[in-house]
Amino acid sequence: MSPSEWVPIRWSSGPVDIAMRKNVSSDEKEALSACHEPAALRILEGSPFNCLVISLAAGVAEDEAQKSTLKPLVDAAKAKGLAVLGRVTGKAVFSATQAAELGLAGIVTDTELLTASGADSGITLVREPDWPSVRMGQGGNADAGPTGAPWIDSNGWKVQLARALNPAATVWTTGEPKRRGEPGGGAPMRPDQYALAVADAGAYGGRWVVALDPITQAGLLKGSGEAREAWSTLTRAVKFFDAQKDWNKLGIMSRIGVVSDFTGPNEFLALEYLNLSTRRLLPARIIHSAKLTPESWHGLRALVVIGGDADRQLLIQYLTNGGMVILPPGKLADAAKRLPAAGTHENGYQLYQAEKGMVAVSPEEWTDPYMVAQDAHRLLGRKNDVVRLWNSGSTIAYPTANGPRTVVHLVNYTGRPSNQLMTLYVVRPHAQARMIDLAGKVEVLKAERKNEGTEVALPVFTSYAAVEFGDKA
Amino acid sequence: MTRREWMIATAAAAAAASKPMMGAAPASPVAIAKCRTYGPELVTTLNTMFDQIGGLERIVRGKTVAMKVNLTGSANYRLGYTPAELAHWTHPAVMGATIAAMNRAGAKRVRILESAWSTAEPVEEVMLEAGWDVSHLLNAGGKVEMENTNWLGQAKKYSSFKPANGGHLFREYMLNHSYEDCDVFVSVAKLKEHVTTGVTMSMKNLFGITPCTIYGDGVTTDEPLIIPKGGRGSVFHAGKKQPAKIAVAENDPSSSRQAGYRVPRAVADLVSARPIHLAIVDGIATMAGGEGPWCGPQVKQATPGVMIVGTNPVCTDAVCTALMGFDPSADRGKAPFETADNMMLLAEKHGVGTADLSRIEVLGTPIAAARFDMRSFRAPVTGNRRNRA
Repeated sequence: MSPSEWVPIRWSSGPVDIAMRKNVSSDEKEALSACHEPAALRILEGSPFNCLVISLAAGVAEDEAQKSTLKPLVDAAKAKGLAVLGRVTGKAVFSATQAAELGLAGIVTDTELLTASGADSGITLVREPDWPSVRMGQGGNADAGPTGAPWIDSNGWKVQLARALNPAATVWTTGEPKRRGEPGGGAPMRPDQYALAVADAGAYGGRWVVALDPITQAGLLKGSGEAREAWSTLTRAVKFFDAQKDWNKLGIMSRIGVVSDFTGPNEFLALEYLNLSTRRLLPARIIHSAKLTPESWHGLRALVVIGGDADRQLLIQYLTNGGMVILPPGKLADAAKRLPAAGTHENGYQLYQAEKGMVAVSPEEWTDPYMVAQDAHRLLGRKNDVVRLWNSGSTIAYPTANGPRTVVHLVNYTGRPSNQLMTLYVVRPHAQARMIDLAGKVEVLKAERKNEGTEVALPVFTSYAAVEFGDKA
Repeated sequence: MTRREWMIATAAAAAAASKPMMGAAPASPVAIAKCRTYGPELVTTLNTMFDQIGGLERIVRGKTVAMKVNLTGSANYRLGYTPAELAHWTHPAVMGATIAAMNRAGAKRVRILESAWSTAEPVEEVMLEAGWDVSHLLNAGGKVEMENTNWLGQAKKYSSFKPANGGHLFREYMLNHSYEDCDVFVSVAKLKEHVTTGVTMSMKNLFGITPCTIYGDGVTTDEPLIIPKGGRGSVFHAGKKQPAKIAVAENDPSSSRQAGYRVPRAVADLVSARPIHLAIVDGIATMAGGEGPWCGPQVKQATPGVMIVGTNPVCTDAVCTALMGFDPSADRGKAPFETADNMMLLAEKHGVGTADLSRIEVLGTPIAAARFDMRSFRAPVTGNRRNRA
């Protein structure tokens, strides 16, 4: 089994996990101990999981005890055909060779997956993963973002970035349910919150390393109904995305691209741009500045260039073909100022004509990614929106397409049935549409032609639904 | 004669042309017509109505017309699956038909104005976000422009407007230049109930001419914001704070902080300070139970199938109120003013117009023949908060 086929689950157990949990209850402590025993693996029977990510070391005193008690669990897992990886966190240092000595297939740190054999795993981890949710502030109210809309913690744009920068890799997210003491933490996750966590990665072509909250984990060992319901919902969601792998071959629908190296001084702005433009339903094609080619910008009406290392000649080629390049002040902008001036956009950007194209230069430094995303949206114009979602609330739409097929993923970050009826518009004309939810329920929708695209009224869904359009009109 | 002097003179002339009683607010005719759809029948219906009130030419020939439309709330909001224009927004077909008629009547240019919700983005962008094809409006006839008046916009300073009698709430309002840089001002509104003021038509439409950069919830300093943020609840509804210092503070800080006291007074002030020359109310497809999808479980899409046009906003709104099954002269405590003062009566005190139906000549379809009882059309409240299609 190659790493790309692994379907992972985080297996919390043993002394390290007990030490790492604050205010652990006796029930949870008992469950963490029980999960360290081979018999606990019965939970996984009939599930899609074939890869166990066990705690190995966390830089705490209990690391040695963990290491010395792992073998029965590892052996039993391997006997069941499971690949076993060791999770290394905190200040712990552990090599892949040491992992091999323990019979592990590799180790998972906060930033990478190293195989025991030293071979490239082909798996990229999302850095600083979030637990997907509507962010809750003091008093249990939803925090508002700069738009006034609820702030959403999502890994979707991070998965997109990881996939764009590593096209051949499988992308994993390793977020875990919020712990006691964190806002929204401590309580058992609802089944639909687990479905949301699966969808938050799966919709964007990634895979969540499934992680249970301590109460659900303990409940599963005891056979509680609530825990079994959560498990059932969760595993069904995992199977759903495994059955829809061909959707990953569809590319993001977009008319704007972001060109950057996404690191160093450009990292914050470029990453937060992706986060906030996703929230604006302004999906962006991600282009690494070192991989800027005519193919990379095909079909894009505008490029937002974050960082000055993009190849100037290539940008000129893009402009020559009629595109718009959006820049902050800097070297590239200074070069653009030698072009014929073409006025000032209403948002204050100076415009310069370049052959058929246009350069838009910000009047001030880019410091606020929300403003950059908003300005880019205004420069591009809403006539170039590829997707619209009315009454969207805390739902994000991720539109993808290839040839005649269009699939729009809808992820509802409340993890509850939406209390508003939503309507979806995609810019492509289609005659047919159907909605599929995580339970596999399919509903045929009435596809209505609207302007140049298609509009559909969406039935109520909970954490996730996909709308698949077909049969181009 | 300055533009402002001309504006005041034409408003006075309009008042003089109506049928004033000694000491009473002026009265003007109001046209009503049944119109079931936003298709071709709307164009002929509106043209007939314009003729009934004396023709558009006398109002708009050679003039710059500012047309305040009602695009309340976020463009992202729908009443269930119902597009905004079929529930809480002025329908673009009404705007388009009006623009075309004004172009034929010789208007120099038409400017569509709205203070778009919590943004300085152009109105065109807001319409696109709602799913509209803006080219239909921009190409409806003659020179058509749009401006978002929720901020300073294309001018260098805000314009000052003063209501009669020193104002009920404020003695002066600071507005986007577009409300001054026009010869003719038209309110193109929607026929709706309103959770704060009972009803909303051509008068209440002007509540949205106040820029949130000055009167908005996001104002935190003495200076106006550059970009508007949030609504007007803090300053107007609740009176929790005063506007940015560029505007005067309210007349009486010890007055009631109830929205039902404050908002009707602000509306009456605004229609006095920025006179409306033509009121057009879209009642073809609208909603019952409130002014927007956010108003609660009682909201429901409705199709009264009626258009209302008049030259006096108070008279026009009085007829609209009667069409919705209410008494436009009702005092606070009676439907639809259970929790609000009657803004038409407050505007009457400013001398804008009369809400007395006995003094208003109704042209075209009689009120009784076009009445649509909004209250009885509301959605039953069952505890299911999901909004209605």
